[in-house]
Amino acid sequence: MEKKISFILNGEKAMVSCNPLKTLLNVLRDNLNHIEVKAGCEQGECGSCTVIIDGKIVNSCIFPVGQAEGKNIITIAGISKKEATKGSPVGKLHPIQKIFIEEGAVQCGFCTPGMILAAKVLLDRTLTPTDDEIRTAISGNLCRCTGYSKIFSAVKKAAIFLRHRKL
Amino acid sequence: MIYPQYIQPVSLTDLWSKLPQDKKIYFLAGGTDLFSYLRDGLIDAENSCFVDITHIQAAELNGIVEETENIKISAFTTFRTISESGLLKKYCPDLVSAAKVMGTPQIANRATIGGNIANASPAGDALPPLAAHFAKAEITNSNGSRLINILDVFAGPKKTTLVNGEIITAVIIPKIMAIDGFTVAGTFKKIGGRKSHIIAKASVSVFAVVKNKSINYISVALGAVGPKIIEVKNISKILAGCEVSPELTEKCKDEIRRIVSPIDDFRSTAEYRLEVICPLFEQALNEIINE
Repeated sequence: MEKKISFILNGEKAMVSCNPLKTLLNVLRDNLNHIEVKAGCEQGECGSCTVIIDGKIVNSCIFPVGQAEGKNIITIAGISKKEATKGSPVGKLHPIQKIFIEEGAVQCGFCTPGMILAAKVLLDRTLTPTDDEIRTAISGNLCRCTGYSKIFSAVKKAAIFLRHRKL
Repeated sequence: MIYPQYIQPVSLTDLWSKLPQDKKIYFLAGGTDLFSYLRDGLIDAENSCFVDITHIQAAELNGIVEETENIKISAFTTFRTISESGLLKKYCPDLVSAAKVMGTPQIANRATIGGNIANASPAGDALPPLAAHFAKAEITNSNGSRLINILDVFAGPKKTTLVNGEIITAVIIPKIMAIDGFTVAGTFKKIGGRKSHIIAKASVSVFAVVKNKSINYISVALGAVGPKIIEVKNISKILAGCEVSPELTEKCKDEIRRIVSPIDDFRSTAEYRLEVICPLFEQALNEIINE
């Protein structure tokens, strides 16, 4: 059974025709070529497939695309694209992305898209997060390289940067 | 991949007219359990139908409402919403405490209390608090709704007493008021493998009306230490009207050891569960009397 499903993906209209029970992760990767969304455990444990839907992080690997109808979906590509510079295929990186690189919070990079989106949702809500709030915010994202401390300090630094930029 | 049939009714009336008669019905809200089952081949896709109820939720069944005698929580309420509810914090702090540790933020944003009940896992985090509050589940079918005690929803591990096609639409929690000078307190404790995403190897919910160490009312329920959630009735007999003391706490722990029936499974062993359940209870009890 195929169904036409449309949603907003990174600020642009997207439409797919597929089984509504196909996971959003597979639709993003296979049908729409958004391979920046990573397929990890594919059972809602690791958070590498994290996307933002209507302002909340979810695991796209256990999200039926049928429920995406009309929703606003943001992948890691969507947070840099907003500030894209003309002529650059990569676009301008979001400050959180830049700070993750500067702080060495990226090693193999597989968890990074999900990690940054989890951090972004936190920092959209507050630019003065407590240490506990930061740890909780990224608690759904597993990293097997860094031991988390550099990720934690990157989020902290990003909060300070964004706070000062706002002033 | 073979997918189950999929329907997306927009109202309950629409649901009853669309419901296939010849399939096993799975109601789909957050899908945090269902998608794992589908992926692992635990669902006979060809003979099943996933009924996506998220559009019904938007239309008619939403929110946490205070009634005269009860708090009514729509079955579609996510753990995220429960963990942030001031109303529930006031009346069911143990349920809020459970919602806060239910899963990762990604899971809590999607998983619903109705799904937690329907999944009927002895380790379901909302279940010990609901049992400790003597909550009732509102079960709806094409003929209307009925209320049943939460513990009567469960027939065994992962099994409910619901008939195929019946849906849980709400949870009703009777309000317990604190008498003068006392306060409502409650907490939920569990032990498991990963802090942010623990599926309980053992869990406990304690709800009480307290003043310092004096207990006016207390209700305790245990998770993952038996085929179903266990309500520890005798703890109220031991502690209600008394001050918590080491002696009485030991009595409670004896009672817990007597009533549990833990098993070995892929997640833990009976021996371990029996060993940790009493310290978990003691931690919870100490937390509420020291609040």
